[in-house]
Amino acid sequence: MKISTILIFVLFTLTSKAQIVTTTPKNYIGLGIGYRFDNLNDQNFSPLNQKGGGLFYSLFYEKRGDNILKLSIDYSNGTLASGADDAFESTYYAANIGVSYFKNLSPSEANTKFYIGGTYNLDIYYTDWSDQDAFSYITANGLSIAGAINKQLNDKQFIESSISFPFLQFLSRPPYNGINEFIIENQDSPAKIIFDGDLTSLHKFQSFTWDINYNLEVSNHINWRLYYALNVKKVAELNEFKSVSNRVSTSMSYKF
Amino acid sequence: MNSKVSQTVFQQVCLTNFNMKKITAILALIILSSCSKTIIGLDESNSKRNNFEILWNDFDEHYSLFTVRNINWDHLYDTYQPQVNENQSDKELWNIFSSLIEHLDDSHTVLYDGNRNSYRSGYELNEQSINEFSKELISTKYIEKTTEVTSEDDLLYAKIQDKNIGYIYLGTMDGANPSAIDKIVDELETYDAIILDIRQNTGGDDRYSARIAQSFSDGKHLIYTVETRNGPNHHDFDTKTEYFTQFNENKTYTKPVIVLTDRKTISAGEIFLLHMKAFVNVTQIGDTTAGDFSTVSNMRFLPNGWHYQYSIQKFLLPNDKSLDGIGHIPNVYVKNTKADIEARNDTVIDAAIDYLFSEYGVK
Repeated sequence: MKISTILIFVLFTLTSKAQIVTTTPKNYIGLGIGYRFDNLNDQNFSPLNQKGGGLFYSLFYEKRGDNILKLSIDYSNGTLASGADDAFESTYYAANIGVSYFKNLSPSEANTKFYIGGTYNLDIYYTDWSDQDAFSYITANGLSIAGAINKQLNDKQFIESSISFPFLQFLSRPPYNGINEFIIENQDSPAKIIFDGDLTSLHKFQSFTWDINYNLEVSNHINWRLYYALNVKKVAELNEFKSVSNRVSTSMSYKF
Repeated sequence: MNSKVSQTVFQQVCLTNFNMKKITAILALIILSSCSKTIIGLDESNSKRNNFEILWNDFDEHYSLFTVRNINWDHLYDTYQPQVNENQSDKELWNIFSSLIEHLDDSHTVLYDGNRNSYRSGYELNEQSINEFSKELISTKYIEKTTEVTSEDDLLYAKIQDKNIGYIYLGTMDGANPSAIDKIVDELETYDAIILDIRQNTGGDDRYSARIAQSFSDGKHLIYTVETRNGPNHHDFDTKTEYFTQFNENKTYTKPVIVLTDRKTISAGEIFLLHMKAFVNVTQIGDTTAGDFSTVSNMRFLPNGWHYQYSIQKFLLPNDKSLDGIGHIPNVYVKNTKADIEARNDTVIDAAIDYLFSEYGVK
């Protein structure tokens, strides 16, 4: 808990100092579409590995000056197959809401800039087989520490990569046997169930997200982006959860 | 446009294409080299032995009624595991799995092959009772002024022919509006008694059962507790949750109520009976119920495409006794035979009418 407190303090300090902006910030608002490839094993749902994927959509806002502020909402759904001849096909839904702030650590004229920052994320994943004959979910909600690097290729192009590690998270998963009295009593209020989480330890919940994106300024107001992200999650408990998700997407944004 | 500008644009496009190629290659490499298997682990083997191991271990770590039903699960492993080999047919493996789960005598435990075949543990008597009940016979011989409640899944009410007795049939504990029962009870209140028929009731939502029973409630009584298995040992359960009958003092039915049951009255149907039998004016007539109270697990999956469900909870009476594997034993035992139904007689309804006359003078 002490480490968490220190990290929050560091992030708060960075955020406060970031009020001093030396270059005119640019705002971007955009829409993206992509595909995710998932591999996971959720022992709460099945002893079998599942693989599959689906489309995902994102809506984002970014404010880029010396420092970077990012807000994003992602939604995706798809199918996962498992068992011999992929006999079992389940449907999944995933949503993510994130707010990130990156503080620049490099001189403002540098071509390559390094950032450190933090992220607040609400990450929801729900899967269901045959109209809820089997279901599972994982909700993580909390703070991550993040770092980023930005390489300006020329006036119109840059590559950016970031990585984040959760350090203070509320985690919600089904009980040991998938269903209990609480779930039965609250089955008509799914939000109550999926947010019935506990503050989790780094030992129990490990995750990271790494992304890299290429940006091209198509015109003065239009920006095109190609994006890849890798997310790895592991929940170490009796019913272990492990997932690897690769996402590729493209987006257009309006600069103002 | 002069040639200098054209050249600059051309150079920029080339640079863009070059960068694009590099980026695409990098992305492809990243995707290809994502070592999912390292993190996720290898797929489960689809060997017959491994399917058996997964099934047996999953029950061992999650099934809730080993102690209540006095099952020696380790002994069953020793009996059945040696019978599994890689040369046997799927049908032979299916028979081994079916024989294994039959020992649980728990019709909440079901094995499915994914091709519309299933095996339900301890289901022989339940299945037999299907031929010992006929809704058509009841409709044509025993009741009149029938109203079907369309908002609910299988609910109707009527009057017993030539008697001052109301009749309700409730075939499942599911529907959009369980409070519809209040209106039914209001309408049947003019009669001297109600026969509430829950034979062949397939269960459903325990909360639905509680709400239906509320219309007949005479008070708030502790009726049962529930514990859900929450660990790998057979004795691992969460803390007890207590359940009480619901009561609305402005709406209570105090006249005699006869609840009709059979072997296929199961699960939430039996929970309903836990509520009803707490009230002084209620009598159970018919056959003993199925004796399967627990909530059913999520579907569980095997590598070969078979899947299954089982009980995950332990329901106990306030005295810590369990009715799992026993069922509700009726106050008056009477049971139709297939021959009774073929002869157009429902001896259970007949017994209920006789009982109401002999005990309460209801004609």
